[in-house]
Amino acid sequence: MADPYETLGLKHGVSMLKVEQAYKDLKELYSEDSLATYSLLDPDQRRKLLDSLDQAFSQIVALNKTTTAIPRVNVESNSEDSPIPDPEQHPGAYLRWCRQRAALSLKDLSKMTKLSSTRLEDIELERFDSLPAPVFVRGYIAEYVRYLNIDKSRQLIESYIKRIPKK
Amino acid sequence: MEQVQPKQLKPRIWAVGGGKGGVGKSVICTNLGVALAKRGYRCILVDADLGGANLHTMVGIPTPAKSLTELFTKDAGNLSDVQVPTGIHNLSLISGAHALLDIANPKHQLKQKIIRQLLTLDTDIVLLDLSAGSSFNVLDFFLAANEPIAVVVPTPTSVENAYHFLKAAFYRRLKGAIAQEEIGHLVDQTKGQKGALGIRTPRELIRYLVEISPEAGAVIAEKMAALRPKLIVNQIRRKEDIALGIKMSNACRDYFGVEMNLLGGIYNDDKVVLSIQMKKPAIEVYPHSSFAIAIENIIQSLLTNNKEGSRG
Repeated sequence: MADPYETLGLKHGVSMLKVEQAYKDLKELYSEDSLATYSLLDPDQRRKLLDSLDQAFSQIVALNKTTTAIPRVNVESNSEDSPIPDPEQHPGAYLRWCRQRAALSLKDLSKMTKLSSTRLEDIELERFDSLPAPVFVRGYIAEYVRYLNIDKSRQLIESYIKRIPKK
Repeated sequence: MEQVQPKQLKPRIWAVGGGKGGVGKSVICTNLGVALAKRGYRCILVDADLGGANLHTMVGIPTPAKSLTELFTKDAGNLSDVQVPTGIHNLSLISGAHALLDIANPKHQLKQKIIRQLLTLDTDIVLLDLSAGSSFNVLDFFLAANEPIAVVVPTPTSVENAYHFLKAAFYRRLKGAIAQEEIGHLVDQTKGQKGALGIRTPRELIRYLVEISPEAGAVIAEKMAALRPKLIVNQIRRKEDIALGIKMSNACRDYFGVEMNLLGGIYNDDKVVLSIQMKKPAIEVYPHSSFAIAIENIIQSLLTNNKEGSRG
């Protein structure tokens, strides 16, 4: 069986974030409407390739679950199987979920974004009183989006901003 | 400009191909030549687009009296005898004009002779402008080049033809390598059971060959890895179009196991059409156009990537 990391074009030991990014990029590269590959592969090749990407990704996810007990900084007890928060209703909780999905602690993300852990926590828990003006908050969420590889970023930012009480 | 050039050095061959017609191969090839000549490299443009030769018009000279045709019809003479000056310092031209219908497909031996003679030309860089299509003529020139360059434009038709071209080039070289290593029978055995063997792509075929015949497989893998085409995305209109080049390059690595570096993108530039109407290279008449700047950048990356270049 092929090495799942190799299938995704990755070296062993890269972060889950990198894995997700690579998986997402490759899925897009080999999607049916991808100009860059639709004429390279026949439908059968494409289907098999996409299958192998899915397989490799779930293998890596499984590997990471069993072997690397990444310490998760859980303020609230958030079990792994907890449902995905609705990004529209609870954008803060959704950001937290995205961070945890990437197996990053507040400290980890703080190092990457150069935002303090407290600030990050304020964002995730939607402590609007502690947050500065919306224009800054936009920037913070954009950082989340950037590092956590989040889809529909604009919508998410808008949903979040909408929840800030008008003064 | 003074040239200090040890005689025994062979010229570097840059070939511009890519499958589809009208994607800008000739314009890019001509302007690469002019820009290199301006930098002091002695260059020869070779119009290998037999049957559709027009490089002379791009540099603004009348149809040359001498062309490749003389080599084909008289079956004698040397490639260097048919080069003509272009009026641009350091740049000469071997035209493909006058080509009769039947010599658009020269015999294999003649083609090999021309390829050999290309390497004996007394110059720094030979630029081959290839014709559209993926015929053996085109492929053999492409594969003989030190810098095989494929040009695409961001349209499905161009990308499709480019892949067809790259596949044809890849398999032509692979077939030659397999024949040389005499393991054709091993490859034949895979027929009809590629799926079972997990061979979906050329890359996996090579991996399989390395497994079942380590020695010959390694030689073949090395030969195929030495095929390093370069890619130019021409006539781009949006910033996203350049991403196409990066994606194609990634797909090539996955599919062929071949590194196809992206040389750069060239924005669609009306100045190019104007320059062709003037019968002058765009890089001369519009040296500050986005096209000219892109060409200069492409040259820069080709020259720096390539330390063993003719100038050392």
